[in-house]
Amino acid sequence: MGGHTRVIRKYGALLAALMVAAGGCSSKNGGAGSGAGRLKIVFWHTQTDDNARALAELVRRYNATNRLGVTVEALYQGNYDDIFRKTMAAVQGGKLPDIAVAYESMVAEYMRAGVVLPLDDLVNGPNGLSKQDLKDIEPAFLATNRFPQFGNKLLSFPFTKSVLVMYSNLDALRAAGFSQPPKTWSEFWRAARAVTKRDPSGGPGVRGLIISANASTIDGWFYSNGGRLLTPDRKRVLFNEPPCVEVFSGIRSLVDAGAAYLTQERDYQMEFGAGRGVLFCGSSTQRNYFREAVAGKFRWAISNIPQRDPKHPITVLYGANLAIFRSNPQRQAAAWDFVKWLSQKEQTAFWAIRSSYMPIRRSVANMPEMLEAWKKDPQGKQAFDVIRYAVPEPNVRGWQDVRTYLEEALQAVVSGTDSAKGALDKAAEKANQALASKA
Amino acid sequence: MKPANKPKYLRELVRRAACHAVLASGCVVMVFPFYWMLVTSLKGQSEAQMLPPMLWPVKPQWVNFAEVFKAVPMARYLMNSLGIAVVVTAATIVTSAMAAHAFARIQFPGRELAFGLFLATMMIPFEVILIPDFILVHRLGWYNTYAALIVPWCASVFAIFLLRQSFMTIPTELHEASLLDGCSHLRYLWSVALPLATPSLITVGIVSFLGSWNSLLWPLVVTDTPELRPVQVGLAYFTTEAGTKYHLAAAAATVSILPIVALYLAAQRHFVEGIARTGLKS
Repeated sequence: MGGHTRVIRKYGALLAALMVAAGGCSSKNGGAGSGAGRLKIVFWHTQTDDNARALAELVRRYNATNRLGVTVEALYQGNYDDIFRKTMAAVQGGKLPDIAVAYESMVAEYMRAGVVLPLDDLVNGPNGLSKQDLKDIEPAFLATNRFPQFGNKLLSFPFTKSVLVMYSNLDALRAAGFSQPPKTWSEFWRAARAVTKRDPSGGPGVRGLIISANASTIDGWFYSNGGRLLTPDRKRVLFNEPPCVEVFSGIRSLVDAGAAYLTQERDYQMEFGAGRGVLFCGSSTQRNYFREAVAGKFRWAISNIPQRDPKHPITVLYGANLAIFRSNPQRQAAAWDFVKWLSQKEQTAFWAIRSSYMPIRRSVANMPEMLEAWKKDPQGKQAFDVIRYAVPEPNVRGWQDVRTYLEEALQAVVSGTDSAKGALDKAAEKANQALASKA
Repeated sequence: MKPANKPKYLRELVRRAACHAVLASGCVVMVFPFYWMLVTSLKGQSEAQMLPPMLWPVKPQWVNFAEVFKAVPMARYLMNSLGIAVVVTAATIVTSAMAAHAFARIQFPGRELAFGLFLATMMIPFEVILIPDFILVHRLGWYNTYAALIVPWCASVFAIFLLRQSFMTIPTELHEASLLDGCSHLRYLWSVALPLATPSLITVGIVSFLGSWNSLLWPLVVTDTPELRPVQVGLAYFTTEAGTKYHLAAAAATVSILPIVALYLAAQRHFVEGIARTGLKS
């Protein structure tokens, strides 16, 4: 009893002090740094680590140089799931920022809530983009931000873009008689088998293809084998047609031959780096992690994913965009000014060099700093050369669910619980329901 | 005597050895993740991504810890987490002890129904109440303040439930005798019930502290600025959409769990006792 009271007394004072300190240390938006007479706009993002430092530097430069007297406050709001939940909370509760990073599916949800500012008038307005600018920005990067279900308006602007590519272990391919990464699907199936080596002592050996069940990769594979994902009216899916089924059947055959295997999370980076898997299809953004995993043990390269028709290659885009939320004309103009500034050549190059995202403009390829950066990051240039073949993935409402069904279908095929056709038929049925319910 | 004792002695030795072997293997299973975190925190980036994984770093990279503190305001995050967790824990103990006493010992109309309703709220997932809670916090003017991080967590149904069960194991005679001697309810709670329920109190404290320490989504939703954010935000910093710097994430994780490990070691005995007691009846 006495001890009990003593302990409470002893720590009571400490607790009281902490509570007072906690209550008194509140911080309000719009405090230090905004400066008298400057308009402060808030930018929510998901960037961490090196990318966050690069973004902070860009924001610092903009704040120091813009002529509108705008101060951008860049605030980290967690990963994409977190920022989506926070933005949806803010849609209902208030406190929306001026700009937020968002995938197309998120932009569609925000637009449905009526909070997104269409950008067409700003792009074509007095502080807009010139024809030359619009020609310079990769068309697919803009196309992915146009939403057919909302009058084909430009609702967001490209920001953290990347492209679906194939990572190849060149040394392993060469040892199996392939002087370069496979370009066609038939070469791809052959190469994956040819490089596969069983370890007689029971070790992991070497296998041709590392699989990650990622819907964007699946979308890209289907496109590049001549498949289609949606009907022209975007109401039904078409991925249970022969070209798509063929891809899944091919993967099943590889798995049966011990030439392909599924990995979880981002284990594929380590598997590739350890030389256990030779080919992998995924986002170009990951190349720095692949480089660390390879650690100079072998030569590797990035190229486009395998194609049915190499004369008309195709792949898909990845990455998020910037959405501007409705507020008042002054804030909206300021937000656009920042978004536009970010898309200019110098900033695009800086962002591409410091982050591992793709530059959104073609002209940066000739800038000395970009060429210098690509000397250390040759795979960055290889990925950049693939962008011109990239097309957007569907951005209709409900596609987020469809992605899950596609990933489940691939897992079912790899694990052997379903045939390629059966798994894709089931996925298509669920997908059509999802699209119908969110139409 | 001696020949008769020897087999018995040997049997006992074998029994003990087997027992210890089982316990030791369990111990390895429990300790290995911590060992792995510590080892990864001392590797370089390439080494941390190596397969097969190395069980010990070639050259321990103590610089990883310095890098963590350089990359994120880890000290600030730790202080925030500590301050918030301590206040939330203290407040939870106060509110739940009083509510638990009322539910355990005070007769009032609708008591069981009220308790049932309290328990029912445990079945509502956090995701469902995130937006209404956010709206409330925003209307109260608490957005981006410590109040938003602390006040909503100062009452806990689980803690009320745990303490109520614990208070109900105290013989009612003690309560009646206290009231006859002129004790108020608060006096009984303070002088009789709480000292007898110390293990449960400590359990409530640890669970509240851990819950507060581990929260990420709520602090991200109700705050904007790094000055107010907790240590979990610091952990998330080393993961990007392209990959994770495992060596730095492990270093940050090592730093972040130190206070929790210290707390657990200090209160371990009570923690186990507290959980074991909740099912007992007098």
